Amino acid sequence: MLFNSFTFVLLVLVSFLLYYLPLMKKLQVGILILASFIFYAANNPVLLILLICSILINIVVSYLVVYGKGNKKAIATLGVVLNLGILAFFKYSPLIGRSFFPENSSVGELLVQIPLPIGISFFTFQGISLVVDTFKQGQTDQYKSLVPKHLFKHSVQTSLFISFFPQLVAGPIVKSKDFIPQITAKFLYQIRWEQCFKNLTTGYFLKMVVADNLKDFTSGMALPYFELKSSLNLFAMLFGYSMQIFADFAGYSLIAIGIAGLFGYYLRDNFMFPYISQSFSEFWRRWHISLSSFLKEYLYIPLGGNRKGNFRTYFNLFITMVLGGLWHGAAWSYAVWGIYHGLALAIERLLKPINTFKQDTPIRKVLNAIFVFSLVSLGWLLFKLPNFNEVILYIKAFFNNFAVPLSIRDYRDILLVIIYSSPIIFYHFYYLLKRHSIKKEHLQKLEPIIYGVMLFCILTSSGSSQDFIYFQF
Amino acid sequence: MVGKSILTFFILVGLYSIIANLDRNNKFVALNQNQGNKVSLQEFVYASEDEYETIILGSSMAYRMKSFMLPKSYYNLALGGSSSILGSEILVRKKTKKKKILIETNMIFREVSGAMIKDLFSEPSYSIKKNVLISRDRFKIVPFLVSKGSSLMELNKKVNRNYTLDSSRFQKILESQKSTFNTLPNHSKIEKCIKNLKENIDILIESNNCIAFFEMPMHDALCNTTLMNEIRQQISSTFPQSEYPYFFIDDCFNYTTTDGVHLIPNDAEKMSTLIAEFGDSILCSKN
Repeated sequence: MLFNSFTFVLLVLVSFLLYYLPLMKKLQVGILILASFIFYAANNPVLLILLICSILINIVVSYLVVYGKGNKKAIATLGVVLNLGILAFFKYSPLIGRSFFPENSSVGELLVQIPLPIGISFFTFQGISLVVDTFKQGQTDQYKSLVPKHLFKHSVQTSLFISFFPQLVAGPIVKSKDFIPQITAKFLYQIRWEQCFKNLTTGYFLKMVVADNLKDFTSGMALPYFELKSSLNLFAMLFGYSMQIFADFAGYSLIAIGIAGLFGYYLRDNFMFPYISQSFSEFWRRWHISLSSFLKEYLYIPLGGNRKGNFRTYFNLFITMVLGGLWHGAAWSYAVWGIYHGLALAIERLLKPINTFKQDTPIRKVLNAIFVFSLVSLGWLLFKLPNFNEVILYIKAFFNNFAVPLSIRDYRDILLVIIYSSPIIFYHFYYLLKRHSIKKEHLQKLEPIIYGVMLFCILTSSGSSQDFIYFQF
Repeated sequence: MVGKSILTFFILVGLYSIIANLDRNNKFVALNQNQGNKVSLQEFVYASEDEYETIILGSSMAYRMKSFMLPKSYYNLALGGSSSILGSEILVRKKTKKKKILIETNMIFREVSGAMIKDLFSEPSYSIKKNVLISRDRFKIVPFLVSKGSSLMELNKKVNRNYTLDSSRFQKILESQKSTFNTLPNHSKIEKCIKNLKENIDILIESNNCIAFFEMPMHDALCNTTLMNEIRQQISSTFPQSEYPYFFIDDCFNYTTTDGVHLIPNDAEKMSTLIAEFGDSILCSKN
């Protein structure tokens, strides 16, 4: 069920009306769980069984971690393994089938046919967060609020935490310690309408106007078509894809945050203007923040973080990024993408002590941002073309096709990529302006016009709808 | 802030509605294939039933026959990247009656995109797009401005009507096309597509429409490939020549393509004349 479909809007409206009815006050959590199950089952009802199994596993394991009498560490470990096992089975079986079994082997064929349930990477990570958080926090008050003694209450809370529909299929990934304490009675007056309106308008604008239009110009990034394009076209398409993937995913996250806000839940920002980053480490503090913070807290730090010497720090960074890459998809190109970012982070860290520039001049900051943006965009090729050979051919075509003549249509396409990307540039620029301007109130006066124009563009200039790119992960 | 934003939105909608209504018959320049398809479909679906007598269904090959090349009573519902099957589905949904329907057979093995049909016919999208002019794709701001710009600069006059790719790129893509056209897609896939088309055609015939088939010319090296022969065989066994009029091309060598498959504008115009003659020659007893 797409966020921009009429069915989804109807689901949100009906849920919202029931949710805030005074008569239904005691059933608020139940209404959200029901809406979440309907949302998840809409495309493939059978997969709801998997979601419910995942919820049940995490209810039992987290309850036993707190109130069980056995070895709590072993129970928590089992919980993490079960969550990872579900993820691995459904997500990586086709890759294992294709990579390690002969083409006609029955096991290989069976593995390849296993369907990828939508959102599995997100809800299994949330399950892990619940198990680890309950184990780590020990006998504190916070710990008791995560897992109440009453099993039914715990089951209801965990069901909502794992299935909460605004962020169920593409994040932001929420940690149990951030979400479960928010499960209380909600009232209409608590809604921060302006913030919800801003998030929803910006989110729908980014997805429907920017990403969905740009996709028509980046569809040429496919064999054999890109081989016929000029280097300038190839550059423009890659630039456009970089903007498209940001608009698509950041748009989704903002819509999720906006809808969660309507139901009284606060989700943290998932993107913080990543294309102004001046280093890779800054980029990862600004891009898909919920995943970066999850990997940092549940993988990088447990591996030792930067506490065990330089070599281990580089190794830990590298492993975290490779696994983060593989989390995105069951193809080796995603692992290569992780290696690419892991290496970039490691090299950046290695070079930090010999960086002799004491002062960051504005020009140097801009150059840094362009450099990081260029390398990040190059990395997106591995997302767009999951067959690694095609990535090589694309890069080769870029260097070989300088002499290919451009038609009027090619020039027009380049111009249109720039036009449809310009809101993203403006979006980042506006943030910088707001951050550095001393007269913020002048900028705020412009906001009604900006949001009015965005609403107008959603009505008149949306592209043809397509699944969110991150749904496949 | 929310109220002011919504007010701004309504002011913009009002202003743009006036502009769009004043300029509703502007010449439209599609920025890409998908957009061209959507505009063509929306104009057809939301238009009155009696505006056209003959409807052409097909793929990007027949799409080359632009409306200005065809008589005014013809509507070219050929869709880039798709096939006649999607067009026939649209006609069934629109409950088309008493028309001549000319079906291109070249790319018949492409399955129907459910998303496109859903986008056109599902509510409330259907009602909004039918009644609110500016919500249609033709009036999207950027293509609207590009179309206006193109008209003002008369860019179309500068289109090279004999444009083909340069010879090295042409050969490269022709080789790729040869390999595609000499490989049979899954037999059941073609069968399924033709069955789908047959079901739609049966419904259209019941509604007193006349059906005829034609083939678009392509590069000589692709005309008699395995795939084309298989399509011809399956089409003629499902829709016998004794029952349906056919327009065959036996002189592919007389046509020039930009990329092996799509005609250059000059030859698309030549083909349009032939198709119009063919369409006019069909005697539709049921009408």
